[in-house]
Amino acid sequence: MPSKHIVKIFLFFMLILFLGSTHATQREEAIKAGLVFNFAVYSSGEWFDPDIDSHYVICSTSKSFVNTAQSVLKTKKVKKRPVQVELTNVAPHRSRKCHTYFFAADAKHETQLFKEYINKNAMLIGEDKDFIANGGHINFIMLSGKLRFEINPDALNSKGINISSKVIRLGKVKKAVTP
Amino acid sequence: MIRVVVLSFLLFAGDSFALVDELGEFDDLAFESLLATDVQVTSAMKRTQIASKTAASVYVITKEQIASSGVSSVAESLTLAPGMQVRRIDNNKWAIGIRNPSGRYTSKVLVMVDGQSIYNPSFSGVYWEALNLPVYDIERIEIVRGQGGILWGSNATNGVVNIITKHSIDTRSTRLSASTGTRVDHDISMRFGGDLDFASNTSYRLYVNDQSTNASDQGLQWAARDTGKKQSIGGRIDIAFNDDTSILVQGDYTDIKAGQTLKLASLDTFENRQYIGDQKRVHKQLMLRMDNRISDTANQMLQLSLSKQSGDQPYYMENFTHYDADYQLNTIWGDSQFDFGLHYRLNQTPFIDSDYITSLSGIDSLRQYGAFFQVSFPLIPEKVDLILGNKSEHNSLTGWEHQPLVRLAWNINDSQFFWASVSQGIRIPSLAEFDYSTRVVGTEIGDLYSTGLSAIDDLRINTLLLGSDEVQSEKTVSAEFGYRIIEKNWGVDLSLFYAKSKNASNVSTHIDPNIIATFEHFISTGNFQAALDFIPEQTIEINFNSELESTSSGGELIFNWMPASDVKYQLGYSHAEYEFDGAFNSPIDLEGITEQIFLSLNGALTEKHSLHTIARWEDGSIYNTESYIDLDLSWRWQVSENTAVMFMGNNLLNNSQLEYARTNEQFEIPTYIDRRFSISLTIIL
Repeated sequence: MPSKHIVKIFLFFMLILFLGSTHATQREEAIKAGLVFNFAVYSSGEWFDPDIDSHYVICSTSKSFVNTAQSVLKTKKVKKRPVQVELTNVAPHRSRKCHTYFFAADAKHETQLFKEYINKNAMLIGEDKDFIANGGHINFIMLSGKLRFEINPDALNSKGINISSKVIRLGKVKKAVTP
Repeated sequence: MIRVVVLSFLLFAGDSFALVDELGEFDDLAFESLLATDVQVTSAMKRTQIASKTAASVYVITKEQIASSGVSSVAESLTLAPGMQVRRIDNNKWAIGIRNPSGRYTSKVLVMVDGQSIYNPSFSGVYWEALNLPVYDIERIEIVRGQGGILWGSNATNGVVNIITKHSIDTRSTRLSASTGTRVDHDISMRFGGDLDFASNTSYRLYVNDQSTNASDQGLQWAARDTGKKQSIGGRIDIAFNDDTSILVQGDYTDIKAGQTLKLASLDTFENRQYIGDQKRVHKQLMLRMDNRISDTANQMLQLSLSKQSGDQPYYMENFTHYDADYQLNTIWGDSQFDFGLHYRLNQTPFIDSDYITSLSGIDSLRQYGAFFQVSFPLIPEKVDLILGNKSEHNSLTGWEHQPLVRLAWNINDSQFFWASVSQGIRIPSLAEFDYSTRVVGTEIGDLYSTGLSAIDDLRINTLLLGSDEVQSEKTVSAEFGYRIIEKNWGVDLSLFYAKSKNASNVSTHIDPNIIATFEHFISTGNFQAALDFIPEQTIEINFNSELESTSSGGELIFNWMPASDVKYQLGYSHAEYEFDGAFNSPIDLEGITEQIFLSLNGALTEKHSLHTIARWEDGSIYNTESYIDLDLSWRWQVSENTAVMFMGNNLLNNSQLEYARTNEQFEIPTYIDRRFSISLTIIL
């Protein structure tokens, strides 16, 4: 009976479903890297001065993100300066200046690092539901299988970053939680 | 924190250079392209894939192409795809096919909107004129040439058109547009969208459209009356409860009234008679879809949909309701991918008898249910993948049908890709073939028995085209091959196919020998009045069968060239041949060749001005028309950040042209398609 075959197939797939192993998220990281780059391109302000800075520096504690972003952005430039992607997990005063800091999903334990960066003139991007509420600037969210983002323009402005109205229009505007 | 399912990860396994190339769909990292990129399922293989690495002949019409070309309907959008057979029957009706000659009642292409099938089981085709989605809310149109039936369902033996609309988060604005022209009286649309507060990430959009179009200047046989009026309203809500679970609800309502000239048999004399009467249709669609990520390596989707189609034709009235339920599971296990799905469809098809079409066995509902699975695993890691699958489906008319598939994908290197497939597709008979009795133009007496007197020989006998419950599903076994070259600013896509079908539809005429014998007796005895009284009481039956075997073969060659980031050329050539064994007597299929040369140029003239041109040379032999070149040109002027004006010209090389003239397969009389000009204004607030 075909229906019995269907049941067997279903059970087989349910079995392998729970045996499934975790894979890297290379494609999504590439998309995120592209968006992180675009946030910089569509921004202006004091946080990045191409006359002073030789590179636009994107930092993250996520090795896999850094590897992917280095590939995707290797020929890209922000205000005629090459993009450089760096792996770092040290406080801002001990590292090279990061113009953008991406707190990847696996960086939840980097709370102290986030607190140190929040006072610096850097674009802070994360992927945690409380990221904006905690003072972050842009937060990735997943909607129906697509990457979207929440954004707090006021927080960006306070760090000398004026982001294009086009970007704001494409994102969801959120505000930080006032203590 | 976001956890992201990468069901398509294996497609990108390889070195990082390959990754960058794979992301060629947004290799310029255009902002909106990145946001539009799917992570989850859809596409030809029912999971995210890059078109250039898909083991099938795939073409994707992007929203940018739709916007820059100025097309105003889904049907017209399909002219943007090389190799598509897209012909206007008149100003409202279309004949659209893939790898088969198109017809008003083409039934070998499956058409879906966001995964919801919109086919009509009376002829297993699509009323294109009633598909009035706003084209500006279309994300992309995926076209699968060849057999896509394994994943999508039956009746996809020649291709699938999957229309994917934009997420409502991408349409959170107010958009106003108005256009008018030589054939368009007015076409006014308004869409507004925004965020909703009742869930963490919820957005919506609503649209309304009203349009009125004029008639052509000239009809094929009688005066053209192909005016059109359409009103549509619809909307969509997307709710994301969290990163893992989201719901989509969307609905549409369309009311159309299309003028037409029909060719119907006189009920008294059974001769061809001109009949003037509008076609009225009301289509309602409602769909609910839930996507859920189970783990980092698995997600599932449940989709429930309801569709109501009512039609009022002088020869046919229908009031159909369709219920669909689809479940799909996508997983990754080790280096392999597994996909599994279940579906159930109920078509309620209450029939309303007319003078021209009646139901023989009173079928008022059809059920389809089944399951598919697909396994993809590497034969040679990162080089060669093998894909195996099958879809088994039960339908009320012909029982269980099976559609197995084997595909091979070979990543020759970073810039070359080869694929091959062997598959079996199924076309379930339509109700017209299975259950309906259709009155057609009567058979002339002179064709049966010539008296030499035209007053008698020209008389006609009532003739019925009868469906049969012995008609079987058409089975098509298809072998396909493809080769692609993907370089930074150019590419080549070659697809070849060879298909053999059995149980293809044909007809046979049954004439009761007593009719001729009795008639001959009356004539030979000089009893002409008895002969004249005898003729109207007789009936000749033309019966649907499924006895034909056919062979089709051909291919498509597409060359892409991007000399600059904002300039794109596309040159395509497609050719296909269709042959039938034995005497060709199919009312559905056509025998002959189709051929097309396609050239498009899409480029930015300045920052504010862009140009889009398409020229298509179409062979007309199989459609009983002259071959013709259709030249369309559109010029877009971005007046300000929020305002754009577009000038469009269609069919610029001819005053008018006949694109379809096969009047034996349909009641509708085609018209000559005129040269058209139009202008549109769009404001986004």
